[in-house]
Amino acid sequence: MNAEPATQSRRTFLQLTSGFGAGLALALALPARGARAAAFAPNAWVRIAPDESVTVIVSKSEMGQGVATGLPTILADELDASMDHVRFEFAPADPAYVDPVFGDMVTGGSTSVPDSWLPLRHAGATARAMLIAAAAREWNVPASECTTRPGVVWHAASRRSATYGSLAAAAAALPLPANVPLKSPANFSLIGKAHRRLDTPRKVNGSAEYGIDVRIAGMKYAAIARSPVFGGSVARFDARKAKAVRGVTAVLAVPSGVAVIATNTHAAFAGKDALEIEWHSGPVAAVSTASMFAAAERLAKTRSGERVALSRGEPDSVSGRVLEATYRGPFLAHATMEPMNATADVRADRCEVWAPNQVPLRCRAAAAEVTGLPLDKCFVHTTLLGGGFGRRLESDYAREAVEVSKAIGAPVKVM
Amino acid sequence: MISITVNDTRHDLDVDPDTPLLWVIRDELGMTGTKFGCGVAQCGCCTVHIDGAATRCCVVPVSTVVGKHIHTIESLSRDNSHPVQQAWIAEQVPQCGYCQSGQIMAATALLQKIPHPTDAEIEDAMTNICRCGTYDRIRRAIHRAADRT
Repeated sequence: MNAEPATQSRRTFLQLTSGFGAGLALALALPARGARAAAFAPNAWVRIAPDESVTVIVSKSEMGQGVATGLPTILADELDASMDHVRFEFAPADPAYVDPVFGDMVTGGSTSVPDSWLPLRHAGATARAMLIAAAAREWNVPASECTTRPGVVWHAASRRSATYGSLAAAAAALPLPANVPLKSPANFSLIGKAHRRLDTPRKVNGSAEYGIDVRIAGMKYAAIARSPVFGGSVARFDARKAKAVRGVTAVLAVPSGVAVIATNTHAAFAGKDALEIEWHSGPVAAVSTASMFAAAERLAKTRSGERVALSRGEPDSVSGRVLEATYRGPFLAHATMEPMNATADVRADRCEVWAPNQVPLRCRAAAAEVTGLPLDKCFVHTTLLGGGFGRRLESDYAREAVEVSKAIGAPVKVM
Repeated sequence: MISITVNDTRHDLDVDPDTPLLWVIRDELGMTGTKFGCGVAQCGCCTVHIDGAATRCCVVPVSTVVGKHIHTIESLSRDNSHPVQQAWIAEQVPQCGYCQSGQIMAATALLQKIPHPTDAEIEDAMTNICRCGTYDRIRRAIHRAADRT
């Protein structure tokens, strides 16, 4: 597991607001240092390396819906890249990746493609223009005479061509152009076509890394016994039997319950099962699906709190057959296949969190709040998600991992 | 000390004999392709082969598999050349993918037992849960793999 700090987060970002859409911000990064110096990274969304790889930074969480393929496709089309060269990387928790509509890093509501559509197209078009400019300069021809084929800049008059990878270093030294025109949708070459998912190969051989698969050197494993009802809290607990379980190293109270820390998952689970806890049931212990249905039916008979969701035309003046229906849905668990989990490594001067989440900035904020560290010393790595369904729009699991790591002074995976 | 054979390699381990095989594979051997889902052998995320039989290893104590041959998703191939992996790619089966290691191991065991299963035989054998609902593609991929093996 790569535990180095998120390079992207350490960069200085220039926020340039372009003049279209509702507050759309195209975040532009200064060139990366070190090993990536030879790569061309004209903005926060794409990095082109001398080996021809085009790495698209995906600011949305991949939980099966296909964003790790769909979003790179959008950028690759404007860039005129070959899909064979396209890779993806999940974005760090960084304001540069805030969704322009949500005003936050959020994956939900089937919004990823519409909200990313223009930023990714502009990022791809800008990168393409710079690659063309780099080739034109090298060939000493007007950029307007150059065009592209997938992954290649092409000058027809002199029959010269250069691959994107070979132009990366030169392009990285050029100034950023403004107002690069976008393709006409009629000219889309990748968008609208079916492509093989970029995440499939790693998902058929066990190498795909979900949150639960993260392993950090020296990591402990923890399981938390949480209140059986919402709003409950620990009245008192007896940890003697839990501490007697082989592999259990500590038992401690945390805000959401009692955490059992161990050298492996089995011991953490067994220790949790061995806890004796008396709970305060809290104010909503009597709430159930039946009581919620009853409350809804009661409210439906009054006009209290009534809201019109949609009104079109003049419904009161229309005659005809009246259809009436009542729809009800029970209170449901999200039932993700991958249980809630997160891994945290809290140090004196920094905090790292690995979490399958739909809200990286909220996870980062939770880490900063728990540790007291500034936001820019807290780093969130979003892994693949074994399902989300909105459950991972919460950040409770990340907060718990940070709380436990802080308390024990070691990296820990919490389930 | 407990000795187990995983993917044709013997491992001598100092673990609690009650430890479920799943956690030995994941925590001790560091092979994370086999997943933890429900923990009560209902979802099938943790399916591995024990002497060739698809087994949900989250409830199998490690002490009971001494001397048996255990195979995990990592044993199929790293380069995705196994016919079932190939079929899974061709049919673009995985969505979130979390259940797919288990699905693939269940399918591989099925094909070893019944080389050309019918739809009914597939439905009987493939009881792993997929929260994304990839069942249709799983069935197509199994038929495709059957044609190639």
